[in-house]
Amino acid sequence: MARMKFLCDAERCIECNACVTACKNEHEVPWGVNRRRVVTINDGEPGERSISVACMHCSDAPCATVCPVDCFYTTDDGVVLHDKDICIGCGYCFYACPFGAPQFPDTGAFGSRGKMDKCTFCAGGPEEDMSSIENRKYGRNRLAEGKLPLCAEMCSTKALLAGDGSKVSDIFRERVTYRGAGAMQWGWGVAYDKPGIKSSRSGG
Amino acid sequence: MKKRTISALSSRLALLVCVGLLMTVATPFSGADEAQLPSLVKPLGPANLGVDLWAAVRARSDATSDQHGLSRDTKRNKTTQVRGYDANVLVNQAGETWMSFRNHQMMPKGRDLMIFVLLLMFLFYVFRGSVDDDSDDSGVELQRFSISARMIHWFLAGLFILLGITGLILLYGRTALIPLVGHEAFGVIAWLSKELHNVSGPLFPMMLIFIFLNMVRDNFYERGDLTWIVKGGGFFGGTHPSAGRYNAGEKILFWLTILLGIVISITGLVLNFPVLAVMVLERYPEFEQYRQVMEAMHAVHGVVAMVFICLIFGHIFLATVVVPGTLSGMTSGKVGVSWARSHHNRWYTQMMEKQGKG
Ligand code: SF4
Ligand code: SF4
Repeated sequence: MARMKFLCDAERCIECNACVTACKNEHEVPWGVNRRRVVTINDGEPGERSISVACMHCSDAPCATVCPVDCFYTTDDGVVLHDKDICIGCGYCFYACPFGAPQFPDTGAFGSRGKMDKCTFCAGGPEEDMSSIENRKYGRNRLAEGKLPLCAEMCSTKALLAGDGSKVSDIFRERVTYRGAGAMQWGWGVAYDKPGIKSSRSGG
Repeated sequence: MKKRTISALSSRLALLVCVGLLMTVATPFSGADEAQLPSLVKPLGPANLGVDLWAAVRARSDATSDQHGLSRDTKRNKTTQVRGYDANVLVNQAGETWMSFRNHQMMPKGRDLMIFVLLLMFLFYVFRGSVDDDSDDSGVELQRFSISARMIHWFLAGLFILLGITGLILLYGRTALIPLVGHEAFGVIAWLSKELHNVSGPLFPMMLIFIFLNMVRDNFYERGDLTWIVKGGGFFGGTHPSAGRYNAGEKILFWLTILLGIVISITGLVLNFPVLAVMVLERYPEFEQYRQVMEAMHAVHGVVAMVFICLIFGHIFLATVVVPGTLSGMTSGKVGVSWARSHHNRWYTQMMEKQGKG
């Protein structure tokens, strides 16, 4: 069985927000909700990096342990999903989640929270696979169609990887082996010709 | 056996000393660390670039909210195009603290506290039973609570029971009710509880103001209250200590109700109206995140609620089981003369004088 994982390569992400847009479009995500977001560190300064983040489908998911109605479940692929029919929109999962993944549409009176919505790893929800009701509530079930999450599929620089954990880590490991790590890493330093870097690379 | 405990004790002591030493050694360094945080993403140098980057990723946000209540992290310069609470925070480290407090401290300890208080009451009932007055049942009654006082009391009481039950369902329903009724049915129960709790919650502070204005007059300290407390309201010494309209115990109940009520109202309102949490965050930036405000409010709300519930357990127990004749003051508004003479002798004399004059 695959253990699904996301990985965002901060050396590659160019903050184009295509993943965010692709996700929003693919799943017809409600207003005010973004299942994925790109956060930029030191925007506009040397050493700027961006990271795309969504639900990381934790093995021991904090959201699930605080949910008062126990509506989370983990699929055989290691994807953390929840049941919107049971969710009461209390917001606890958002408080506990390390990555700010759970989001809430403002539906009730006085802007009170609606039912929680979060990244499904394009795996739908508890309804029947690829049914229209599943699509309406949770978005498209690409995993059931034999496809991987659209955000990663769309990523122009292939910074965002999604899929079986061992495959994803193989790809990333290969990248790191090729480009090096830390001071030896090509990328920004080489591109802007930092003194000392070139020599160490050509030396090695 | 004894040797074992002694050795365990001594090893624990040694550990404590070690930790103490470590702390004294470590403090100056950690202080210095915080004072000069390294610039987060340095231009490439000999250091491992990843270290600084991932430090920045994990760094707590020093968020300030813009006019939309959305946090833009200025100090760490973390930005995002997505609009939402704490959207620019990559790793929410406070969540873990809140989660483990709620799941491993508040829930088991709150449950134990409530069970303990109920048990204590049960034991009291078994071993002490009711307190009798001097059982001179002349049938004469005195007016104790006006109709407005009774209406305020029962409205507040009803609200308290509703909020208490719905709140406990939200906290303990997952462990107590799901095994009984199943996930689907509990989803409906929990949804109903949440809506009732949120809609009726804001009435609580209003009723609190009413009961305060209605009853504060007779709840100030009087001479004799201290003696009442020392004698445990008659628990020690056997005789009824002297008391006015309200005895010291009732006064403590009143002031605790007001105090706990204020705390529970403020935290509850913030939880109910997230816009207030954004205001709190603006006023107290040490909270760092919107979520941290909500977590803190939730923790305080839950703890205070369970202490409050225990207090009201005691109140109901005393007013019905322990001191018979008390309840009628809140239902019909009238109490028996003998009840008044034994439990509130000074109030009784006052009332008699008034009646004599009138
Ligand atoms: S919502 Fe958050 S806590 Fe839950 S699985 Fe996703 S990343 Fe983990
Ligand atoms: S918002 Fe829904 S999913 Fe999240 S903890 Fe509350 S009930 Fe569970």
